[in-house]
Amino acid sequence: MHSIAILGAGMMGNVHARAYRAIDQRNSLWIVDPIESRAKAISEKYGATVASFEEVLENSSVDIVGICTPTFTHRELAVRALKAGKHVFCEKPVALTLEDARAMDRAAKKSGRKFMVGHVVRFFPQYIRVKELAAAGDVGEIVMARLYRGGSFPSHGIDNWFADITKSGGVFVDLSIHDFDFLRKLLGPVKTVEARSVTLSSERKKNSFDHGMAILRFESGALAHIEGSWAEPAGMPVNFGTFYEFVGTKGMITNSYERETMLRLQTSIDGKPRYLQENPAYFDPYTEELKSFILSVEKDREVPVNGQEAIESLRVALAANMSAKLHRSVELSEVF
Amino acid sequence: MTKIAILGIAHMHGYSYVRALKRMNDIEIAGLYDEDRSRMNKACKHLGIKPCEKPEELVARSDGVIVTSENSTHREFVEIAAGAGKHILCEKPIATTVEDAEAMIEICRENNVKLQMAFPVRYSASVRKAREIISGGLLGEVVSLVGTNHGRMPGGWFIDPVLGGGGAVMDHTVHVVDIVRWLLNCEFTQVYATYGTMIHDIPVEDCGLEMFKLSTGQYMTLDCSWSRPKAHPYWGDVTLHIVGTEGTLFLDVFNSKIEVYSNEKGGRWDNYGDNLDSLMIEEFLKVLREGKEPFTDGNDGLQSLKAVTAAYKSFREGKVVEI
Repeated sequence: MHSIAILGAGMMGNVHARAYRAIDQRNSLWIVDPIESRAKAISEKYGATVASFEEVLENSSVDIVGICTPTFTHRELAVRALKAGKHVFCEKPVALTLEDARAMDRAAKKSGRKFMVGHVVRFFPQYIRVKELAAAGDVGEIVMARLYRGGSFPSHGIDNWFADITKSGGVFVDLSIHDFDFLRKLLGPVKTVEARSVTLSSERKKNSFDHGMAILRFESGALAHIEGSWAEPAGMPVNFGTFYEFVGTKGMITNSYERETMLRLQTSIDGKPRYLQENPAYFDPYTEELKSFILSVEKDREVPVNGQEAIESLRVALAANMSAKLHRSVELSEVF
Repeated sequence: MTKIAILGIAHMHGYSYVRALKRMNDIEIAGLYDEDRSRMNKACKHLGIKPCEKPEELVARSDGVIVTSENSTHREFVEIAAGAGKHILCEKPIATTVEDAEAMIEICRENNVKLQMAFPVRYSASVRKAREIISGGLLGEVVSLVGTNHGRMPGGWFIDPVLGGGGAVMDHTVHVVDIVRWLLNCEFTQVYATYGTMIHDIPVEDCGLEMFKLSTGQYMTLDCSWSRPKAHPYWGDVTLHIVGTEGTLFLDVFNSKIEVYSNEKGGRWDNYGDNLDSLMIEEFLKVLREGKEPFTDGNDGLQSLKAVTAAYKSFREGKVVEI
């Protein structure tokens, strides 16, 4: 049983509140958000107490702080929570710069508290299966990968913060970092990144990288192509999807959200057309992820994704941004 | 009766072209020449056509010539055909060097001979539809492209660095480059490429990734890998993801598939879409009979080859190079 304060009552704040409730009904939840109505909504839905950040820090019964706020706020919140003796779970990306990320990691080490970053793709069953299959050797050694992750622009962000690259880091840092992180764990360290990205002209998306493609070469010699996209128009029936293909020396593994679908609904009630395409499952990767964090806290074990891991994945995303900006390939050693 | 000579049967597409010709009216296959006599005789027996010892002789009694020899030998056969004033359909890539490709275009021009390039993908109705969608403004302004041309490792002369002129980069770059040149009415101006021999124990690269810049400003990546395992139910793909300011388009040219599961032969995909080789051969017959300018011509072959040779240069130098 834990007392958990969730910072940020946006989309991820809701996901965390639901997961902590699913893990243990007895958990006490606190919700912090400058927008009262959003905090109140979570408070009512999941039985959380609305509080200020300062109240949370001073409340010694609160042992866990979950950071679900926009990326540019992560450092300050994480460092203060760790200093106050809280275990911290921070949503990905850990931060926008290596300097910020390292400050967070240092604060964690100094405090002796657990610090985990939400690279949740590692907990998605179709990605867990890739690691299992790769380890089993059915397709030989993985030497090449193609991954796509994308959909419509995340317009749910407060003050449209995803659109500001100085706040979200753009599509490589915010979205493709999932794939960079997964590939790093599968194929080892990245050596070279050649990337390009484009900003769509719409005023709403000003300043942000909306569509990116990156060619990675790993130290092992393996190659990968990563496409991250916020370029799908809004209001489409399917607004998010992933694809992967892993080629090994003896075969390949592939999965596509478009091909592999369990359930499709087309309906029109009272003239309102609705479309649904889903793979319903009881297994929830976010719950598994937070469960693993709580277990690390309870058993005093190393967390599955620590600050150092998050820093390494951020480095790849920053190398992609640098390559896209300079229009040349970037050695990972240039990003430090 | 239109008489067609086949020069070289190194490329398996030659078999497909002959079969397409045999389904058409008023066509006679004048014969097949191949330097490799056993390969020639085998193909002639298989396809029911006549072998021929001398290419010049065969060309002289033909109306048009199809060159499906190894990449590096296209030039010598094109020179024979052009010298005899016969229009040509040449397998892709046009040649293994830009010098050869330019010489081929020049000799065809001098002899008033039309040179059609075998870029069957451009004949797909899906590519034409994509072009209509783009020109109709449905994507807004096109800003980014991601392409693939995957295949199985073909073996044989394809993996001979001299005869093939390279590996997967040489074999699988040109189709997508050609359709994008046509879709966007652009040229390819810069390339960064990385590749390697990753899967098979062969003397050429089997996997490659390229980052191109287009004259119209966009960047495009291309995966040209021979990365389809033997166990895969289909030979490969040609796909293109086009991102525009107002929408996106995904093109998967060979995805009109039927899944077949046989206890005897295992699982495979069959394609029920238009036969692109037939459409391309029909175009060649129009070139021969009506004097039409070919839809895919020697310059298209040259421009796509330039992208390939620049990709090799980019990897050797480890940087972006001009095409």
